[in-house]
Amino acid sequence: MNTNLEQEFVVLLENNQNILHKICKLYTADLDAHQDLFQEMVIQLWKSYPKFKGDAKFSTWAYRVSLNTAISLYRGKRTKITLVDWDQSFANIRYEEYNADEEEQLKHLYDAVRQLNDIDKALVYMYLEDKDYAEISETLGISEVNARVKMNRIKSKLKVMLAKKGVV
Amino acid sequence: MDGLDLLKKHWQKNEEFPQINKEEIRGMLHKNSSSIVKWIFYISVIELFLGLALNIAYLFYDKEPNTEHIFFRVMNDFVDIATYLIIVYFVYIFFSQYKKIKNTKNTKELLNSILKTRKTVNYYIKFNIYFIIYAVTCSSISVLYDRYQENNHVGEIIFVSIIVILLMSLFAWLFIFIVKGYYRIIYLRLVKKLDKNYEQLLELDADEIETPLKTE
Repeated sequence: MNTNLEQEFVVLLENNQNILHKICKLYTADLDAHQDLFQEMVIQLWKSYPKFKGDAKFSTWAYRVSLNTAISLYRGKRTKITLVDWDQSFANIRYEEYNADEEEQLKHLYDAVRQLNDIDKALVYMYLEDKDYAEISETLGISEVNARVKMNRIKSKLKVMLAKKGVV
Repeated sequence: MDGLDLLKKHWQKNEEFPQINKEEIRGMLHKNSSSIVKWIFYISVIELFLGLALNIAYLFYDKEPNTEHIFFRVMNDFVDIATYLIIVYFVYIFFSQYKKIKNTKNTKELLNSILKTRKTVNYYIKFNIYFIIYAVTCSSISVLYDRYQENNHVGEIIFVSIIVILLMSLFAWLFIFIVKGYYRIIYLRLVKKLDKNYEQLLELDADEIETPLKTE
């Protein structure tokens, strides 16, 4: 593939890399797996970049391919050796803005979301990114009504999960 | 504040990930993918060629005995041609389905296209199992037939037939057992996740709406 295309892609990806990081954060539990999934996403994006015509926003296209990678293509790391407390290393930066209760609640929320299945995580991701239900349904290939119903169910499920831990 | 909404508030501010620079990204572009599809592809191609090798081997082995009854020879020629046509068909279907796997499709279509490609190879493997069982059955029958031509002792023919049938059943059972074991080891890990996610999407869409529509 030509170097111009490569240059263009690298710049776009560097500017939009947080999309990938955010998805990795929901789908992986440690730094090693995060980097591994991130790399696979980059490879998958690069693979289909020549066909990206710019009729969608790069960010929209990128999150769709990345979600697909997490759901359908990524094999997952066999070893689960946590070198650093991944949550802490990321979330601490912003924690000071919240009170201690919220801090605790956030930690439990991330834990709860990680326990959801791959499809539910995708719905949560798009909800957090403020995507509308038309877009969610198009991305996953399900009906808009079902996407909405499912999202409400996930919210209730998360509430129950948090309540069980004593965090509401 | 609702649980998920608290997360949303935090989520949109949370941009402090350790940044990967251009050079690192460039390095990643040329690394090998370790995606499930790639693994499925390699394993499938090996299986397609193993099946082909098996059939070619059978073709050569097959030509040796010429003393067989005309029925067996016609049958063999017919089966040879049919087998090759079927293999070509499988290879064609496999590659055309593989080409349809695109990571830009929606999730449901992507999962469906991967699983379909994989299923083609599963049918191919099944076809080969039946082919092997057929080939062994045919050789056994022709051996028995030749013996019958040479020797007319009915008692001996029955005895040999029973032994052959027993051995063949044992062989077929053992063979299917080994292939199933192989599948469990090789594919369960690869396809389990895809199956699970696809099922979830299907379930989600099959689910009739029990609760009235309301936006939260």
